[in-house]
Amino acid sequence: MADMISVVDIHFIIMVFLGSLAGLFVGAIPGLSVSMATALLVSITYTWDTVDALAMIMGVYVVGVFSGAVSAILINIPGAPSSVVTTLDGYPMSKKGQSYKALYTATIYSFAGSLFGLGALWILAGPVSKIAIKFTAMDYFLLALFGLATVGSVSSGNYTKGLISVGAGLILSMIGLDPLVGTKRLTFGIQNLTSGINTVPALVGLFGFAEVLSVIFNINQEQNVLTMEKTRVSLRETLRHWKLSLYTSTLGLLIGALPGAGGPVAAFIAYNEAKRLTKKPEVPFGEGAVEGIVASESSNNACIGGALIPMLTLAVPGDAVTAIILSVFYVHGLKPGPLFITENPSAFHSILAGGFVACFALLILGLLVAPRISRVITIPKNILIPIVTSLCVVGAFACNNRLFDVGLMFAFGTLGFVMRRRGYPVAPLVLALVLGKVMDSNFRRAVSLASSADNKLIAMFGHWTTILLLICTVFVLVNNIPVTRTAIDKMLRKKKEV
Amino acid sequence: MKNKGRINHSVQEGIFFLLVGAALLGYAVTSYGKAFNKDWNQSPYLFPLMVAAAFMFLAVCLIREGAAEWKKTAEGEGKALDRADAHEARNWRGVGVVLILCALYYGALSFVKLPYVTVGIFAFFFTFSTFEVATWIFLIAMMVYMGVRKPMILALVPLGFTLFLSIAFRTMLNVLLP
Repeated sequence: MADMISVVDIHFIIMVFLGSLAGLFVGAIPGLSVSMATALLVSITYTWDTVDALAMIMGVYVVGVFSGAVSAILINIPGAPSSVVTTLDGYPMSKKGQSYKALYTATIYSFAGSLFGLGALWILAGPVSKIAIKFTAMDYFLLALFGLATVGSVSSGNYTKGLISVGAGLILSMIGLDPLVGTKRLTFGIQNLTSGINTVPALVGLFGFAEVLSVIFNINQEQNVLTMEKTRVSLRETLRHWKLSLYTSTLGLLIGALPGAGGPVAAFIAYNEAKRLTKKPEVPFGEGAVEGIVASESSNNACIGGALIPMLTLAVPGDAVTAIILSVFYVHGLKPGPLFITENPSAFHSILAGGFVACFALLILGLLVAPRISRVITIPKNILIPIVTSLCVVGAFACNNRLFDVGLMFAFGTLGFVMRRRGYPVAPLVLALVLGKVMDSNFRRAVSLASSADNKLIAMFGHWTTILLLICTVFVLVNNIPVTRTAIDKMLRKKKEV
Repeated sequence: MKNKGRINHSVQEGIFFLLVGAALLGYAVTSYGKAFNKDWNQSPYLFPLMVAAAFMFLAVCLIREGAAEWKKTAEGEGKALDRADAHEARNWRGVGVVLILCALYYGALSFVKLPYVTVGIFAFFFTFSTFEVATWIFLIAMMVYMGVRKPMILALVPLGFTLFLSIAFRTMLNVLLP
């Protein structure tokens, strides 16, 4: 606690607050995204002190996730993917003249969810690091594989397509120099590909420019803005859903810790759970049930802490934003992993302190500023989209100062757009792009070490963590790939008949 | 039925991915063949080989799913494709135009080299070059294409935003621009 407080001073609070303000607008305006803003910040904060950079990024992250609820409630268009579920009950509440109550509820429970998630990060990061220190190279390979197998199953309706996205990401991650031997792979003589595909232009393209193309594609979608009517809302009345919030925050934390799952999945699962648990809501779900907003906002904000746990302790990002935050660490010479907390305590405490301060910024901005920004979030698309495109160009270039990255960004944007049209989820591709080299190097390291052992299988799979991860990975894959799922169902049916 | 002979999308995609997987497999095997080190444990082509094999397996799964879907809903899907395609042809055009505009923007940034010009107003210095000019023109072109007609907006927004980008990033934050 003392270490965390030592990081916090007026300058730190100002940096968090500026990031929070940026996150409020970026998250609320459909077309802009927290991923894009964070990617831009990687370049902007390149020369800054690490503590300042992390403070600002945590501000953007925490408040950006919440502020998607603002446009979800007012114009039925989620500002962030994690706020999709908030539209189901937030917008109906607005139509009944209860937009202020909806936003008030979203603010309070986003605050609660974020605090819960960050508190869990503070408590669990140490024990998880202690377990992670004992991980072998094969454990890291299987952990990444398990994460990718899981993200393929939770992020799309078609598991095969989810895994194909993973495969595409792994292929793209192989471009460049081999991590162990330094051989060029899949560069086809293009010099700029020798260093591989940089995460930032890929992410800006897949989430920023792809969104631009999607908006152009669906340009005829109208948006009706509902005005905010300020009504008196009782805090005591709002807080009576605290048990539901606690449960859905726990769900959000666990789902956030799964690589690639993130806020949208957490919000969806939490919403379904809220429907299951709330037997007699005052208003039916889908028609303005407050419980829907409580579940959605608590879970998607608790995801933040959850996603940071594997990122800091295992260098496995939990979602797209943490994948970008990983880039910030590398740019500043930090190496997330099991030894991160002991070797870089100031960075760890900066993240925690930044997150907690951002929670309070969320509360202040959500209660005071968010109700007043309805005009700003309805910037016409024909003005917003060209602006977003030029921001994507700046963000893609600023990372490595190469125009080639701008071209890559456009290419990935087009790829992301086509993938969305064809029903292929983008999140697995992003995670695979980030984890591909880690998987490659750890697998070959494990195989090399085992090749000199007497019993190669025991050397590779003899550790209890390895066996556990192998079982989990095989279970997820076999249970979800349609071909194997069908074979298992046939076998079980035959057994029942017998 | 117009689309009776059309192959289901999943089957088309599956065939495409099968070819990609096969190409990667071929690349991994031929590159391994050319390499000095013949130990697969140490080979940089082991991982591409594994990914290629898994990718091909998934492509076959996708083809199977697509074929099953096609068999079940051949007639009904044909009708749906007609309606969907007519709708999609209209929206793809906008995407195509935007991509062309972006390609021209990228081309201008890559090949047009304007000298850096620094303008000083009292103690404040502002530098501009190809990026500022190209961005200003790009913003106007895209806004006109997307239906903005008010002269004030076309005059002020592209210029104002370009100035904002240049001052905020290049001058204040020392972030290099294209």
